[in-house]
Parts: sequence; structure tokens; C-alpha cells
Amino acid sequence: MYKSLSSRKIKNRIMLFIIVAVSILYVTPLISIIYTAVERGGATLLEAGLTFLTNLPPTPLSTSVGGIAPALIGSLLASALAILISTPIAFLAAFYVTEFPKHSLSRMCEVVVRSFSGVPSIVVSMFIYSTVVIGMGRQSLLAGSLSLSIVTLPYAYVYFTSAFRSIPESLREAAMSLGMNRVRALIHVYIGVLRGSLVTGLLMSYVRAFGDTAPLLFTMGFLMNSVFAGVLQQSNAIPLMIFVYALSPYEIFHRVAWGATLVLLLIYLTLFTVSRILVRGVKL
Amino acid sequence: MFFSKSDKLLFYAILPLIAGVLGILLILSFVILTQSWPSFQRFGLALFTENAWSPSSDPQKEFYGLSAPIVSSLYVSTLSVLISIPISICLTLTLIEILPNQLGTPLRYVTEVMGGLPTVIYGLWGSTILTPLLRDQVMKPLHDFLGFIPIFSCRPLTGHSILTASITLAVATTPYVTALFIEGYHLIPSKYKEGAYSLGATDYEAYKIMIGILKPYIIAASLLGFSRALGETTIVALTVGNSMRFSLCLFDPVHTIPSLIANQFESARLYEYALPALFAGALVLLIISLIASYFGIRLIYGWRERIHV
Amino acid sequence: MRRLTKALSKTLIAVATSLIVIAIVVVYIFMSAPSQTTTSATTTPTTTPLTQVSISGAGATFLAPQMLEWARSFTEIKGIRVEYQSVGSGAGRDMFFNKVVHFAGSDPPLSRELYDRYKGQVMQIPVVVGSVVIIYNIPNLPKDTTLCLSGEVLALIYKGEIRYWNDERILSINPELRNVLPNEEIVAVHRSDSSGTTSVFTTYLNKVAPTTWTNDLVGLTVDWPVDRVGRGVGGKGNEGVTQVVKTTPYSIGYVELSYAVTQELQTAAIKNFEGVCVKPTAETVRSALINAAGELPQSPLDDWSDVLPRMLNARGSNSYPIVSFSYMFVYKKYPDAQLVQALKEFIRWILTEGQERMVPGYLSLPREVASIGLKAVDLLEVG
Repeated sequence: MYKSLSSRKIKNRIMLFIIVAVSILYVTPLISIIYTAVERGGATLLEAGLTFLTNLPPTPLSTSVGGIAPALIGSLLASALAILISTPIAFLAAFYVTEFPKHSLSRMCEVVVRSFSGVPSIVVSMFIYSTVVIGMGRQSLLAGSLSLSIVTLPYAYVYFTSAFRSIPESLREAAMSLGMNRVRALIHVYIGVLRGSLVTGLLMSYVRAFGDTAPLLFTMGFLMNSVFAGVLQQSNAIPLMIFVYALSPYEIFHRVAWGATLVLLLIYLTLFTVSRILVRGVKL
Repeated sequence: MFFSKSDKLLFYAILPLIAGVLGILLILSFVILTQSWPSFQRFGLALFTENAWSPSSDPQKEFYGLSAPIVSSLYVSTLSVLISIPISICLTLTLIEILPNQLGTPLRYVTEVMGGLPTVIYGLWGSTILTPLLRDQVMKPLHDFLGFIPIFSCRPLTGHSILTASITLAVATTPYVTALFIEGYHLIPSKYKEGAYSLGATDYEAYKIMIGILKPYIIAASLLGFSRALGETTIVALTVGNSMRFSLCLFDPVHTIPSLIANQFESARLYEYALPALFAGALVLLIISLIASYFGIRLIYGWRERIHV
Repeated sequence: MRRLTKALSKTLIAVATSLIVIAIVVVYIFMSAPSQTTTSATTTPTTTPLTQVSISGAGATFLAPQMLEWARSFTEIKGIRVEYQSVGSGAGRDMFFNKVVHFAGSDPPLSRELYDRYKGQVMQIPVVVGSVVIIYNIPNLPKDTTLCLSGEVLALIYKGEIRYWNDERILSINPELRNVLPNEEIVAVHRSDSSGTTSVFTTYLNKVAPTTWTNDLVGLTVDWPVDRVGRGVGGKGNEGVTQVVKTTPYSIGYVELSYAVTQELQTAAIKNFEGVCVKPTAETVRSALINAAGELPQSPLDDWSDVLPRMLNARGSNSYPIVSFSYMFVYKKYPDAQLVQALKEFIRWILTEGQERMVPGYLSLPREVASIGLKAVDLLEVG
């Protein structure tokens, strides 16, 4: 009934090994992704050089690989516009909910916004298409940005509420005891403390918007013959381009897709690392 | 609540903003509900019990049944969570117990990177690298040797299938589930672990006890992961095979609701009931996802109270 | 305090980076402002104000490779931006009728009902001649052997009733392949989205094998019987079907000729009306067109709904049986005068110079047909 100590110790060693092995094994898809992206995307990038970022995409029967300029601009702008809309709203809402937590509106806000972090992003796309795209009579960068802002809002909100909630009570009390009202406290005390999380929140929401495909599926259009046509016109986005080109049979589109994947990976890793460094900079 | 007049001003100044946010989200739900209503009127329960996608220029001849995509959505999401759970448990133990601090940092970093990686990259990888690998090394042998088992009984066609989609989804959602597990693990009062060690448990035995305590939380977190996986579009559209088929066999291509929408949405307005049917699918997905999240969060709060007794 | 300054410097770095990024983006936009996307001089002075206009279209993947080349060339040469999204005939029509795009690319013409509904408002312009070809992937079949299939056999395959490649019914048409065709199950690939190519293909099946392929199985989207027996797979767009057939051994699929040509896929010969096994080539397609021409509608405002059935399974021993026009749908009136002007230029260009820049797999229109389409240029007006 009682196992010997040595057999338990052996089992312990084995199981620990398995646990760590599984954990490390989990990482292999990422290694595979990076390897393939570098191998295939690298070939494309080497072929095109920096023009990959400035040229238009190829037509199906082209021989040269062209570039992803419309998608790059579209992604940068759409994500920027999206967080310009959603982060201030999320921030103010988070502030509101943490300052007046007992009010029924705050409670409703908590429940509704948190539940909506589970909305399938394609549903948001359907909604924006049915309202904005048909209303405007065209697909546009604006529609894509609106779609992205609805998707990033709950995400930024959750982040900011936990940031606000982690402000030590002592700081709040100190501010109040100095006779500050809530707004003053926010400006003079909280923002100073939260500066790191603010930037991180912005950055992480931007990354999130940059990499999301589904909200753009029916709303952004697919600009191919010019780099930028205006906020109220069609545009393109890197994840969208990868998605559409991955589904095509043309070798040239596949090469562009992998090149774009490598670019996306690099942008993502850079932004991600920057935001992590910022988080470590401020400990709340 | 209001300490001064300016507080009151603040409250009423931000109030319209909050109302606006709630408004947009409520309008979204409202639009989904109203847009899907015609399909309920026309098809009734058959919308959920039959499997078909037959548009027609004659509204009388149209017929849509979402039973297969709904079941497949649930099936693929459940499978991906089931694959995620053991991996997440291992990651949690590794990051918290086995490889503390400096040694664990690279793994922690990589896991977080994988958590935020754009899903289209997972989808592309799943579609081009994982699919042929799975088809030739896993599916074909399983089908040849164990084909009598129902879930292996269908012939792998292109490799895009329930299994490929589930595995790729699992890879993408494991970091989220792991983060939840880690959060929960940290909440367990240290007395349990200390008690185990003081009785002479080995590390592994102590971990077994901790995981045992975590079990209800694991279920709750899995519900949240399930809710996440349910709404995933990009990965699924690239790996699931896009076929209106009712099947539980792992190697069959099917449709999930998001992949069906991705394929049919842009042409749906040509027909009278296609768009309502798609919105109905979206509605079902939304409701299931909200229910799963709700119960997940409830279970977490309940568990948190119990372990502090 | 030091933590605060450390955070401050880190935030300064972040702010600086974002400013640099914004600056780069702004420079980009100014560098690629509309008036500078043209690399060659414009030929007509009147196009300068038109460079602010963009024409957007969407629709058939059948016609996409050709239309995308036209759009790119036209944008480069004339400076007027044209964008085309290859989303499928169904989606293209949907977006067109909801006025989300300016023109639609469609393989099937408007049906009788739709034509009546939009009579006088929508114009149909045939822009290209294409053909639906059968591609297959049988690994051990030598490259120079010709597989011949009949409409009846195709119908039975997609109904799920012919299961193996060495089925008697296939072998009876291909006696020389008796020991070559393998005993493998046929994977039938079809479209997963709303497709004009499907419409052309199923109309053909219904025409030559009406008892097997019944009327309810004809359309842009079909409930494929072969799916229900577990041997059907869907691909999105002509692109998707080509992709699936290329990567799936023992599969069969239907796509526009151009996709087969550029992907170097094996195409099957089809038994035509005279019983001859004919491969899809420029000559065989042209032969079908000539034999079926008959009476074409004389104006883009006319009803083209029965042109397709007449072109399918045409007479002539050298005629390929599955031939179809691809159409451009435009409205007769648009509120924007600049847009109308730009559209006129585009349509005229497609039907004249564009016809000399055909992509492999497509046939240029016979002159008589092109001139019918050119009438649309005069019919377009502001309103």
C-alpha cells in the first residue's frame, strides 16, 4: 500500500520531466511558424528588398512579387484610428466605473462590456457592413476602423479597469485628504502612476487591432491598384491580405502571403517586446 | 458618492459616454436579433434541426438548416479546449513551480507571444504546414489501422478537417487558458502546499494535490476558453474544410458557424432568407458564448470563496 | 521618484517611436498621393480631373485573372483607379445591387425574374469568353494521356453515384485507360461560396443529363449530393477549388480555363454534342461560340437570360461543350458625373484595347459581340 520512497522519487523525476517536456513541446509550433516565415517569407523579402513595403501587390499572372504597400498603410492607419476611438472611451469608462462602483450604470457597464469581450469578431463585421458599409455605399478604411474599435474596446476596458483597481488605496486617500476632487486626483495623481499602463494599454490594443482579421473581412474592401485612396475609400490590411492570398492557388500570391507574414511577425514581436519592457518599468 | 460639485459634474459628463458604449453594444445585439427574426418565422425549429444550405431565387424554395455548423462549432471548440487543458496544466506547473524566475522567463515570454500572435498566422501555418503533416503522419495511419473506431472511420481528403482546426485552435488559445490557470493557482492559499510538503510529499504529489484543488477552477477557465474558441473565424476558415456536412469523424471537413458566415455572407443578400439564417447562426453562437462565459465567471467566484475557508 | 523618472524615460521612448511611425506614414501618404500613382503620361487631357475617381467592382472569380490585369493596366495607363475584388458572382451581385460597388462581374446573366425587376436600370455587357474546364489530380496518370468524360458521367460523379476512378462508366469512355485508372475514391471538389462558375457548370449538367441532374441542383449555390456521401469538398472561389485539387490526390474539380492553364493542371476532354471528346482550347471554344451564336441580344439593356443554355453543348465536332460569356453589370445611371465619365472610359477600353491584352485561358470577344457592349458607353448617363 505504501510505495517505497525511492519509487516515489523516481516517479517524481519522471513526471516532472514530462511536465516540463510538454511545456517546451508546446513551443514547437511557434518555432515552426518562425522557421517557415523566415524560410518562405525571407525568400520573398530577399527577392523584393525594401520595395516589398512600397510596391503594389502583383496580379495573378505577374512574375515579380510586388509588395504590400496598400496593406501596410491600411493596417497602420486603421489600427491607429481604431485605438484613437476606443482607448479614450475605454479609459474614461474604466475611470468612471472605478470611481462610482456602486451606481447601477457602473454595474451594467461592467457586465455588458465584459460579456462582449466574447463576441465573435465576425459578428461585429456583419454589423458594421449592414450599417456603415451599406449606408455609405462603399467599403472603406473608416468602416474597418470602426469594426476594429468595437473589437478592441472591451479588451482595453478590461485592461484599464484592472490598472485603475491596482492603484493603492493609500494614494487615493492621500489625494482626497489634500482636498482634490476626482478629476484633479486623476490628473495629478492617478495618471502619473498609471502612465506606464496607459502607454502599454495603448500599445497592446494597437497590436491587437493590427493583427485582427475578421472585423475587416466585409468592411475594408481590398485595395490593390493604389497605395492609399482616402479614409472614406477602400483600403487593405496585412492580416486581410494574408488571409485572402492564402486561399488562392497562385504561387505568386502565396509568396506575397509569406512575405507579409514575416513582416507582420516582425512588427508584432517588436511592438510586443516594447510593451513588455514598459510594463516592467513601472510596478504598481 | 459625490464629494463635491465637480464630482457631480464629472459623473454627468461621462454618463453619456457610458450610455453610448452600452448603446452601441445593445444596438449590435438588437440588430442581430431583428435581422435573424425572419428566418425563425420562416423555418422555425427546422433551422436548428436540419442541415442544409440551399439558396434559391425563389423564396419559396429556399431552405437553410444550421444543425451541422452549430454542432461542429461546439465540437471543434470542445476538442480544442480538451487538447489545451493538459498542456496548460503543464505550462502552469512549469512556470510557477518548476522553473521559477530567471529560468522560466524565456518560456513565459514565448507563451505570451503565442497568446497575442495574429490568428491569421496560425491559420496560414495550420493550413500549409500542419495540414499535410497531420494528414500523412497521423490521419492516414489512424484511418488505416484504427478505422473501425467511428471517429477515425472517414477517409482523410485534403487534411483540412475537424482535427486540424481543433489542434490549431488549441495552439492559439492555450496561452489564454494558461494565463487563467496561473491566476487561479496563485490564489490558492499556500497552506495547502505547505501541508502537503510537511507530510513528506514529493513535488509531483504536491502538484497533484494543488491541481486537485484547482479542478473546479480548471472547469471554469475551460468554459472561458471554450467561449473564446467558439468565435474564432480566421483559423477555422483556413483549416476546417468548409463543407456542409454533419460528422463527428475527426478527419472530415465541416463548417463552423464563423466559417459558414465567412463563405456565404457577401452573397447572402441576393436571397431572401440567407442573411437572416446567417444572423441566426451568429445569434446562437453569441448566446452560447455568453452562457459559457457567465457560468465560467460564476464558477470562478464561487471557487475563490470556497478555498479561503 | 527614480521609478517615476525611469517610467518617464521609457514613455518618452515610446512616444518618440510613435511620432516617428506617424511621420513615416504621413510621408508615405504624400508620396503615394493619387496624382502620383501613374508612371506613364496620360494620353488624354480630360483624364486629369478623373484621377480623383475610383471605380470599384466585385464579382466572379471566373473572370478575375483577366479583370485584375485589366484593372491594373487601366489604372497605370489612364490614371483612373479601378479595383476589383474576386469574391464570387453571388457576393459581387449582392454588393452591386446594394450599391456598395459600382460594377459587378458575373458569369450567369440576369435571370428572367431579375431582368424584369431591374429592367431599364441595369446593363449587361459581355466582356470575355471563358470556359469551365474539368481538372483532376490522378498521380499515376501520365501527363500526355487524355481523360475523357461525358456530362452524364460528371453528373453521376457529383451526385455521388460514381465512386471510384475505375468505374465501368468512366472506363467505357476511356477503354485505353482500363488498367491505368486506379481503384481510388473520387474526391469531388466544388465551390463553397456563391459562384457563377457553379451556375454555368450545373446548367450544363442539367442540359445534358436532365434526369440525373435535376432542376433543383442548378444555381449559384448548390446542395451537393456528393457532400452527403462524404466525398465532396468545398473550395472558396476558383482559386480555392484549384488549390484543393492541386493538393488532394484523386480529386476532380471544375474551374475556369485560365486557372487550369496557369496552374498547369490536367484538364479532361468532354464529350460534346456530336459525341467527340474535345479538350478546351481557343479553337474548340471559338467553334462553340460560332455554332451557338444564333441571335444574340442587340443591346446591353436587353434580356440575356437564355444565352447561356444556347451556348452550352453547342453543335460542331470541334466544339467544347461548356463555354460561357462573363458579364459586367453596370447601372444605366449614376449620380456622380465624374464616375460616369470614368466608367465610360473603362468600358470602352475593355472592349477595344483591353481585348488585345487577353490573359491565357480567355478568349477575346468576336467583334460583333464587342460592339453590342460598346453601346453601353453611349447609354450610360448621369442621374
